[in-house]
Amino acid sequence: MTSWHELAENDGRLSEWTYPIQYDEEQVVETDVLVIGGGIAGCWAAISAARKKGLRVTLMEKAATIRSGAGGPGGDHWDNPMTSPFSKNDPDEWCQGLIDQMGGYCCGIGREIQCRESYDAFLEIEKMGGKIRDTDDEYVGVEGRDDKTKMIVASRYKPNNASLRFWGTTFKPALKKECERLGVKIYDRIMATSLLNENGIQGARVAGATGLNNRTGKFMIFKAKAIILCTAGIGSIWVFNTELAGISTFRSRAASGDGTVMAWKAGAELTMMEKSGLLMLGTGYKHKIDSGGTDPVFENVPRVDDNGKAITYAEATREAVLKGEVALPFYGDFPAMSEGWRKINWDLGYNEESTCLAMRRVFKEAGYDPARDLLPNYALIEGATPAHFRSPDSMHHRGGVVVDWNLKTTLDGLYAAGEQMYGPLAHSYAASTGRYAGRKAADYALKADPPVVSKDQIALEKERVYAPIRRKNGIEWKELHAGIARTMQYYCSEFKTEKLLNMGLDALNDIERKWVPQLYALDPHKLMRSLEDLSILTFSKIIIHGSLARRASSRHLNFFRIDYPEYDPPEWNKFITLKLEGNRVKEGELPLAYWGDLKENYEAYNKDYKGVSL
Amino acid sequence: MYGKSYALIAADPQRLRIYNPLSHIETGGTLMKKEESLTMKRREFLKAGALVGAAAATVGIDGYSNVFGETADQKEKVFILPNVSTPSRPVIRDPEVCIGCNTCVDVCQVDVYVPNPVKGKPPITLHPDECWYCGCCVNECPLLDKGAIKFNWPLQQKGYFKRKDTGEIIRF
Repeated sequence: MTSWHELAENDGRLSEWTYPIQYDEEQVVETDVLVIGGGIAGCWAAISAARKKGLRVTLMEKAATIRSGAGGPGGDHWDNPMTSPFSKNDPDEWCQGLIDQMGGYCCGIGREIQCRESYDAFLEIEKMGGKIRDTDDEYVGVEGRDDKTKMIVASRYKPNNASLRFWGTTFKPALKKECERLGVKIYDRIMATSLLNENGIQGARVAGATGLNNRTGKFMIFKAKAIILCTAGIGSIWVFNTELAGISTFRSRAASGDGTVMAWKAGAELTMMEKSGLLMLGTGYKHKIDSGGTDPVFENVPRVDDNGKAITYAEATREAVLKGEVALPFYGDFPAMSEGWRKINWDLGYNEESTCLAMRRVFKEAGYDPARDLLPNYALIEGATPAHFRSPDSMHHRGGVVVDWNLKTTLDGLYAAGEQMYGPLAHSYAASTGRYAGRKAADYALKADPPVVSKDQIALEKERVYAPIRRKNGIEWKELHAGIARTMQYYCSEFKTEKLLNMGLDALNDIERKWVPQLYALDPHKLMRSLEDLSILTFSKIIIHGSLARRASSRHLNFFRIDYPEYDPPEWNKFITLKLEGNRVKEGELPLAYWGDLKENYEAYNKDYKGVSL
Repeated sequence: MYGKSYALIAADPQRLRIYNPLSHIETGGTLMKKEESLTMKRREFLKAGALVGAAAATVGIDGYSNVFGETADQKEKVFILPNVSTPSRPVIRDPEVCIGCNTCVDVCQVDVYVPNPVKGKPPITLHPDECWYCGCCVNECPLLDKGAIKFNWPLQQKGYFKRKDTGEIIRF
């Protein structure tokens, strides 16, 4: 008896909600530094802030900190630790290269922090209990393994040694333990719903946040001197199915952009919102050779066609298939690899990478032997979906809050790290920027005045949060979700014109006016999902505002306007910024590389940086 | 009692062949392992019984009450229930092994499960449609090696691989 209907049928009646219902009940928590989101960035932010003596640090997490976040189950490669002894590049030059790769459209500040400090974080987590070395001598003699340090250079970005292997399944429990050791107060299963401005004035200092216990429905009020946003991006906006959420590989349904929307409503400036598409629609991503566990381009797994013919990434095209030059389906040819590389990929990479451990186990139980068997690849046979949803660039650098060299947003008291910034989705990026934001926010909190929140703002938010549970009928979150996703598919995907974008905005406004007042939720869990979809609705509108504001096409942003077809005209090489003033959207701009000279500014802002802290 | 009824079917495959139009019952009878029959759900079994019974009535042999040792008033209730969501079983549990420690409930990233109202019993899969197959529930299960929980990809994501030397496609 493990399904709900068996339970209902067995008892002949419905069971009451598992957890105590505490709608409308309030709990107030006062703290110095509040971290919102307990994934990789959030845990590091909390640890780093808690290292400053005399500060109370609180962590609010939607799921359970022990395994939450995209890096919660694990991780397998630590990117851009450019100060490691293996690195063959200068950190600042390497960082500039990464920024140039994106045409300047990424968070250069975050990248510089990753290049400068992620190796320090790597060494620190070992002290917390994370495994970063081949201490069991499993990979002796394999190319990339350093016998002295027992560290393993990953094959991706070879020959620059810009990525190190690690045993990521050990990381999240170690981070949680370190949080607890340092006295961080963790609140699990609390979804953040809003930021509280000082005296309730939009654009003023951020002095608190509200949350919802997604099991009991209790309302949480946090007062804090400094807040660090470490929530996820907007992964689930492009999940069109109301069911089968598992079709998205890299982010769960819970990645609903709540943090970005909270910052938006509080008056923070956002950028690059026009580039907020995401790939990962399609079957079987979890166990395909490209984009699932690992990638042959980076990891040296040869790709072959159905006849066993080796093909390069460039040859695996629709044209080549239609001409009969290569035969579908494709495979990852693990048997063709050297034993050492195969072992590194299958035993270390697949065993430690985020969602791959469970995948590898299923294959193993089915008799899969990497020395004998080819791993499937679903490229092309899935058929076409809009390019907008498939570009890896869209996934890796999406819109988010504007930050400065302190990783402070445009609002006092509000800091950001990891996916919240318009940067990449990467474990070491999340870790190093979280760690950096933690110490900067702590410095601010040490000097800041006590937070003053507004009762009126809290009352309004409470009304908004609980509205869906006051209704018993109307539309539920899944229908709302599908409606928003469809609107975005029609009006803000591959074909963009001012007319279509405005139709999209109008359609979303219509949903907001007519259907949101009919949104209902039957329990605290469904209330959480409902609030997530309200975030997604707002996020979608911001994406359209951003798309309307960029009246030019851009290859780097994977952004095409039919009515402005010229790609990247020089006058449009800039960040478009958006912020809310009252209910009005205010457009602005920032020059590319607004962060100035990377080396100079990094050093100027981090004179007191002590390196590895043990 | 289910075991006994099952034994009736299994013991007399000839008899099942009489009802050949209902070939799926025969498949159920011949392919089902004994362990499965023991844990087979009463409702599913009676559904099969009802079909056999209906067929029996049409060919004028014994009604199913004689075959299964139950009368019509003892039939299990059928409730008004909505469709089951897709996928419905992100994991398969072995209730004989699971001790209901709820570790999987605690670590789940999206709250797919809730604890069973009966202490010590396997958790209830309440929101299977929200599962994103991160695997935390399976990875963290203290009785994973004993088979308490097993990952179960939905049908549209079942895996396969190709044996390189023989070209054989192996599906699972």
